[in-house]
Amino acid sequence: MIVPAIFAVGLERIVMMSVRILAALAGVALLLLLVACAGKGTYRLPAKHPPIFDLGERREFCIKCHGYKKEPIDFERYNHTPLFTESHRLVAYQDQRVCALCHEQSFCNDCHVTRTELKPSDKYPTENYRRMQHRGDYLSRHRIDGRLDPISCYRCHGNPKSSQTCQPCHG
Amino acid sequence: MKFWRGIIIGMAASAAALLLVPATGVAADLGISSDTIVRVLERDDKNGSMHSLLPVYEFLRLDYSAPRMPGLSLHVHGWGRLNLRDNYNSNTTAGELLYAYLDYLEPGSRDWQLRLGRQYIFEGVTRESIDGLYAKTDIVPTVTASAYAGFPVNLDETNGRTGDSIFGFRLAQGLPGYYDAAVSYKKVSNDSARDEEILGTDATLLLPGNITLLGHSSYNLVTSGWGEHSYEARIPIASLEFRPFYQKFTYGDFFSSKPGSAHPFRFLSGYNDKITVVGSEGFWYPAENVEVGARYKHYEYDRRYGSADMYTALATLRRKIFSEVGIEFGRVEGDIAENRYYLGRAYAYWDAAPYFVTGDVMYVSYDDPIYREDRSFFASLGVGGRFMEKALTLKLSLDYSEDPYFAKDYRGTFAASYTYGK
Repeated sequence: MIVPAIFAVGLERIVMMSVRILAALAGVALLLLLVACAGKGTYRLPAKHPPIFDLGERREFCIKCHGYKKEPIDFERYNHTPLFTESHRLVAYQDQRVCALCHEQSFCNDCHVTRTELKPSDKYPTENYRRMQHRGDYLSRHRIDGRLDPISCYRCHGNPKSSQTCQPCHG
Repeated sequence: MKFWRGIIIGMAASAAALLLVPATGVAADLGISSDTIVRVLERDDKNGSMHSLLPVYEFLRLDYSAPRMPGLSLHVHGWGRLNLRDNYNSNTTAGELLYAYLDYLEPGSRDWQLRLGRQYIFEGVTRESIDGLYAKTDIVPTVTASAYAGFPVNLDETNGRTGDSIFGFRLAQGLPGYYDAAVSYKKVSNDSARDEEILGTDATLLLPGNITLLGHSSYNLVTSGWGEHSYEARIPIASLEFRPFYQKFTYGDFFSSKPGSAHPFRFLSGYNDKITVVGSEGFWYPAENVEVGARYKHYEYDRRYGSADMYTALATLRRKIFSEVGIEFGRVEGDIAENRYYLGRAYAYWDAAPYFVTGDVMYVSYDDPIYREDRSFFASLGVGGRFMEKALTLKLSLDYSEDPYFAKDYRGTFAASYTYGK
């Protein structure tokens, strides 16, 4: 009976020691992770993207130059695909500073404004490559799009001032 | 509220005046951008009287930073309009100050950013214009925190509302190359009463194979319900990329139903419908100057309409970066003919520096006629040129439309864009 008891006490000590070693290792790992995190988190975006050449308002693919590198930022996330106008909100809400590398706030204001009288395609009719919202006769199409997907209308026309464009007909 | 709004604008104006004091012997960094747009069109009012319209718009932007105050800059943008002929649904003049703020980015470590004045905030659950203060910091490694407080410009004495204030924040933590996750919050109060209160989350997860998962959700704390879930994956495979997505919206929790909130959306909140949207975007880049894209969206409604599908396909061909031709095809297919149409578009932008020529044609066919017309036709032809080392751009566009609302509509637009500095 004594041998098993000694064995049990020894086993308990071994287990406790193992737990302590594991806790210490976990602590060290956490510390290393924090240090690693601190290193990774110290990058600061420049105020502006270096001017490569005059692209005007052309859509650009970040991975053309940066590849699929994920650091210091995930460049692929900001690729301006042919449908970027409709799908940029997810990444824009995550870090506006990346947008600001190339775009002034006034660029966003072409569509996102408290109040305006010109739809984007009327303001810049010759910049047809920008695939601006409401190109052509949107007055007719909005009857259908608005019924099926009012959410997409609400994002830009969803406040009292910007919805003034709706009011002449919708009250 | 007007007192505090005045204090904010006064402080911003005083600091701006200080900033604009010229520094002796030091060149200032000034950028000015001006877009003057003249439109010519005709409109009939509901009594059948024809109005000849000649509105002139001016969009003016100014960016200024003084070298003697590193990190501090001033940004102003606004527009105004003057009707040179008849009025139609508008007064003779109109205008809006879109933003006017001082920006301070701590020049050494770049850990702090402060903005004071009228500004736009797009982050987390916030897409607002405010008169107020915004602060952002990266002082804790891997953590970005931002907060703002002020007055919402959107609600400034609109629909009889006064006394609104807005406050919000976003707290994000991320490990570059692996993930980032954030929680954000927005509260709009009307004379101390809670008007709008939203809590949101957004996250990105980077997986092996350059696959990315990202999306966000928002929870309406006023109605105690989820307003939105939007998530997507991005899967690149050689020259292809797929972006399947899932979205779910609950009208009652997404739209604001408060009195004075935006027409006509507040009435939609009463339906309390739910929309589930699933689909995917797909892209193919067979060559550096060729893009092919497609999107499919399937809508499922909880109450109104059975379901709907939207299809889009487009292709773009570029020549020497600036010249471009493109085509697009679309189909919207709701459950009834009233909600169905085909769309086709072709455009060209041809650059022959310093001049350029543009053309755009769009045709839409409605399954169910609108005002007894079952099609829309739109055509646009433009020419332009860049002069004075591209500082001045002159553009002329002639548009024609034949659709359910206009038998034959001709419009002309002349624009002069001028940029100085920066």
